[in-house]
Amino acid sequence: MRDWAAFVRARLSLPDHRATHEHRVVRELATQLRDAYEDARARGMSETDADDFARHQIGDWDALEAEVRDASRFEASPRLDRIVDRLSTPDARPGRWRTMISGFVADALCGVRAVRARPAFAAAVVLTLALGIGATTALFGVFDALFLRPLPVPAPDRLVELGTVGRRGARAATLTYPNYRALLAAGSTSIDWMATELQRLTVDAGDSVQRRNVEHVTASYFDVLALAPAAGRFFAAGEDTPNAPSLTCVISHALWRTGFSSDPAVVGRTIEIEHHRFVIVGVAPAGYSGLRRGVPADIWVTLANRHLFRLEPMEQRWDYFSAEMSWLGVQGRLRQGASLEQAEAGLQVAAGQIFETVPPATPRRVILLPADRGQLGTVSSLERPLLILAAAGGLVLLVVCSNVAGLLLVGGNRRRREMAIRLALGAPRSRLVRQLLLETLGLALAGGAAGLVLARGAAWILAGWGVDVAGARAVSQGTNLVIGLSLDGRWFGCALLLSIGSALASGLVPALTASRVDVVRAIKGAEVRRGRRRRGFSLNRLLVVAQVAASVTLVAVAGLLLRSAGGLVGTGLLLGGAGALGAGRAVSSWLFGVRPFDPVTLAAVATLLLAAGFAASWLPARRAARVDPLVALRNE
Amino acid sequence: MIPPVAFSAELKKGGMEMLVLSLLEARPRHGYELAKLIETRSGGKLHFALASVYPALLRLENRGHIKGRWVEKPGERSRCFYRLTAEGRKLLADQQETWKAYVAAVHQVMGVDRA
Repeated sequence: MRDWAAFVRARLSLPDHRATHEHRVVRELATQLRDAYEDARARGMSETDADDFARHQIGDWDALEAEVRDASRFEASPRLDRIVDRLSTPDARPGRWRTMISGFVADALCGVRAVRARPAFAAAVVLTLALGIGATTALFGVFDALFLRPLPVPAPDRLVELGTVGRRGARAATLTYPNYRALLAAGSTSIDWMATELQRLTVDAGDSVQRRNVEHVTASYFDVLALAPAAGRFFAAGEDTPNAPSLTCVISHALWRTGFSSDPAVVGRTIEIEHHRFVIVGVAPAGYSGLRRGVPADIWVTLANRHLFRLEPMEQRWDYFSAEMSWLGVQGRLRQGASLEQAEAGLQVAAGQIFETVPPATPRRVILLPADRGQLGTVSSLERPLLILAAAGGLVLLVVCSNVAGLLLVGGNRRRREMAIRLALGAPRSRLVRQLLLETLGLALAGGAAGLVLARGAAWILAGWGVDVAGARAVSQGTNLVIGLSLDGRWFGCALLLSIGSALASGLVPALTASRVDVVRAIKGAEVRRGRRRRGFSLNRLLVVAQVAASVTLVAVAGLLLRSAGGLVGTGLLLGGAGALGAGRAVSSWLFGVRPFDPVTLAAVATLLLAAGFAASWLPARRAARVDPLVALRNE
Repeated sequence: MIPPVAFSAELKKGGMEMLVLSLLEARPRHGYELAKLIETRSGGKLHFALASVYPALLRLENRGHIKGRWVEKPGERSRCFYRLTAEGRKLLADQQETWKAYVAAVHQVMGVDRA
């Protein structure tokens, strides 16, 4: 008898199938052909006739091959996909991941064609999203640079700062030099300590003389931070003593690059700080610019030389190493295996001894504050305004999303016929929703890319505003303020997340609405009249009301931030109001099908604003009325 | 033996999946058995070659309506026996319903035509 498996294998070729699948097809066909042969033999045919009979069961192998390929397109997808598919479209056929990907590609291409067919609409959506995503990304960029980004040192989460708990809560402590020495002498099994102070001094370095930030540090500073020099070395223990043989310093990578053209022979050269000659012993690694946020250090010198820089006449009398002067910020790194709680408990014992032997210049209740982000100091005054701005940015994005959702709703209304034809051709509704969502996602990603460009410019302006706000305080403290912004992966991540979020927030409801059409009516051309009088409160009206309410809230927030610019806000409101009335008719097609003077919408906006105004005045008044006069007077 | 009636290929192909599902309703069967049963039960009027039966089985299996399992029965070779899944059972019920309604409608129309 013939080897039926070899017979099938010689005629059927399925190179694009998995080996196991191909093997199964061959085995099953061979079994059935053998069954046919044996059946023919059982019916009395000769071997040759039975062989002929079985062989002729499959006449056209090419057609069979095509049918097997076609059938395999519907190979069952993973269980989860099938469940999701069944939930969304009961009549949809489960598809393989390949089918899914090709489906996605086909939908994406469909989306591209739809976008190209309406370039003005697409441009409006992209621009709107770009504004929202750009504003929010810019805020994130500045907030990240100031408050979120950890110090560029190994394991920044193990850095701590010595703090105290007083009536105003926990804050970083400043210690006297004897206190710090006593802290070191007490010995800690869980923390390596360092102490710092920042000063702005005149430096003659390279070919320029200018004011630069100089950080006075203990010799342990770079070891505690676990940094490696880009060139030369860091401080040796003997250099942190008042009688060191020579004055040494470490310069920042930025100063090395700009002041010394990254000269590898910079080690051993000298710079002058307030007319004192310092020998450069090393260069800090790229990206590291000291502990202070917003105040990048250019040079590090040892703490023991602090007395060289008593510049003010009054300062000449001060003894920085006495028990009267509290000036040192104290930071440390938790040793391997030590926990914050252990270190803090050990510190209480040590602090008790230290503050009993040395006259206390610091309250006794000491704690450890996380210092992974360095010292916020000057920039902490920006935290609240930036948080308010971030909330405003979120609101802007919400307005933008609702605006885009409105545009998409109107756009979907115009595409009812297209949707109806696709439904009539057998496309499941989930497929239409997916295509519309992909379209929105594409537009949102384009908006995100444009927003990133806008964000770059906006963040620099925002940083300038931040410097204006917090810079005055920095100058009063003898330093300057720099908000270092660098467009990197974190910005891209933020813009990408916002794009995807915006696409979902603005695209989901319009996609669901657009794909829910009455096929027969839509194909016959029964258009839904736009702007017709509708009863009840439609989604479009809701969007308009939400946008107006959010916009007015934004103006109020802007007023809070720019109290001095009240006139500007008023002018903006007047111009905006006049512009809105004038442009209302011109852009009525973009008003989500709601007429510019729709009484229901106007009434709802007025009610909402009245309610917000009432809440905004009543809540603080109620809180103020609860204050006990005696308590208030006692505090005064 | 009654000579096979010349049903069109489209007509046969359209009904094949329903026939396969119906035959599997009672118990699991293998591919050649299904082809033989269709021929026997139709009195030879319906004849499907393996080239038509196997793609239909593959399609139904890949859509999750039937499930094949290789079984070696005592004294027999190993064969792939197909059984109905819950989805297949539901599909069969739907198809039977639709088919009955269609046949009734056709009968009704033809009855009216004759009258």
